[in-house]
Amino acid sequence: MVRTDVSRVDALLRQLADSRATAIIEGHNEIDGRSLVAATTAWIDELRRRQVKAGEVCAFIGEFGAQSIPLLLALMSMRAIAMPLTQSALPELERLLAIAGAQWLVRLDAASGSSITQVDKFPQNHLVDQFRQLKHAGLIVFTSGSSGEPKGILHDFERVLGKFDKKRPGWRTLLFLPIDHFGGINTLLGCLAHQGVGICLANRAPETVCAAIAAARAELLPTTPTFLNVLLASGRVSAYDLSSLRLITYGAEPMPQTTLNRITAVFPQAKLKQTYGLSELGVLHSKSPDEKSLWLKVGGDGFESRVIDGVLHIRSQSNMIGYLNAPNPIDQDGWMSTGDFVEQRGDLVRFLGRTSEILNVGGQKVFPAEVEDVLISAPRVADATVFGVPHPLVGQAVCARVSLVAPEDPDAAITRLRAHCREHLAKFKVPMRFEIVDVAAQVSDRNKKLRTVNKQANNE
Amino acid sequence: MDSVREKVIKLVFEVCRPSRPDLSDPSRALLTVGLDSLDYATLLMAIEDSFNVKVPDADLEKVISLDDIVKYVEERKGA
Repeated sequence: MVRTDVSRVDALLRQLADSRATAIIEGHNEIDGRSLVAATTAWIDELRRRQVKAGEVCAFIGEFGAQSIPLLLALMSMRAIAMPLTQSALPELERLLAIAGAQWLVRLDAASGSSITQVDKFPQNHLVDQFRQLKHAGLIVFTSGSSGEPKGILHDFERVLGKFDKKRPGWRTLLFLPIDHFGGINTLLGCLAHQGVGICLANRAPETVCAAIAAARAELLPTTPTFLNVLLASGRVSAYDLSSLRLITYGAEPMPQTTLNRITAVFPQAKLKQTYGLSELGVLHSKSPDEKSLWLKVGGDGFESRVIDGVLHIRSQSNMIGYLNAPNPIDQDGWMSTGDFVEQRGDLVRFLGRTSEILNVGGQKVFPAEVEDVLISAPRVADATVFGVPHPLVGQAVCARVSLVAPEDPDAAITRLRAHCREHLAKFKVPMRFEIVDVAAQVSDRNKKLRTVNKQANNE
Repeated sequence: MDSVREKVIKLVFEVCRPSRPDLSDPSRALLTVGLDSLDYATLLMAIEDSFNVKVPDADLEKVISLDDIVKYVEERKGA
């Protein structure tokens, strides 16, 4: 474990305390750095009053907002171990608390007030015990495990903040990615460290996001290809003034070239940038030759990359401390296989899909992302997800779920989609089964697919 | 309304496009009249979807030819 002499957490809080500039926007409420630190101090007082101590694991349930952000900063300042959760974690709350050996649970509720509860029934995690000796602030996030058991990931905030040592411009940034995802925490810390503005969202509906961009004059939207597809399909883009957007970053899943082209056309003033990160390693700096390109150079300060047998491997200075409940996937030299198949061109890579996601049709490889890209390029298609099902004749059958921008006879739609795929894909890649679904089902499908991919990835 | 046979023939030509299998002898195994394994696998999935029937792995030997498929569907749809 790396020990740093100067606390980056303290430096961040000092920087915020000196700032009168807006740091967070929640609705009509603008909070400057000094007020944010005042709210943080209030949380520290309350947590201390309740006997929360350094090194203790404190879970909290909430979304990014005027309560959760100072709470997170308070836990960092106290050298506690923060475990952010959202409402979606409630069905498996007990299990998550047990994995982390959580000692405290804070429920944030703007309407009825917050509650702090001591939970002392869970055995302490060995890795957390070791980490406590460093006296650093910690972060626990979860990723889906292969057997249905979520994996807890322990990070050292001092390492995580190291990525922001180099000063960069601050952006007015939508806090779109969830607080319980590493990407969400990375976005928030980037905002605060680079003196940007974090814009909180009541939810992630296209209408809400568009309204927030317009009202707060947001400059940076960090998001996913799925949301960009939903945004385009919602028809709400033209109803708002979104001209403030200067940068849209996307990651977490392969971006269909067609979606990228559409987004570029809809937001001509905004640059598009592909990001790449893993909860275990952090979010890497990335650079593409041009914004319409899916090729990118990943790495930058603190990261190294190499490709072995077509799979990207990363070594990062912000590596996690480890999994709480699974073997460490990082080798003794610090390298971790990402499980992402890439094509390589010089120092650029293009993501083809997860090694665990590749379909085998009669002995031939099919990357779902390639098929999805072709489907999305067909007329009147809003989005498409491609997956495999076992088939007794060909091993796996390629199946596609497609949502359309307007109602259409399903049989006619399937006929034209099949013809379109035949025209643009090798025969073995053409979906054998098509399902026409609505856009909402498609989003749920994509989210489920992402979870499945994560599960598979974490089993490798 | 199309009969089961007419619908199955339409599906065969649909999944095989642009090639046109020779269905002049409907008792012949489809894999011998111009369908390859991908066409055949796709056809069976299309049959399942179009007629809302499930063809379990154990029944694959019952759906070898056009006649087989028509009989199989009609028996399950009570046609």
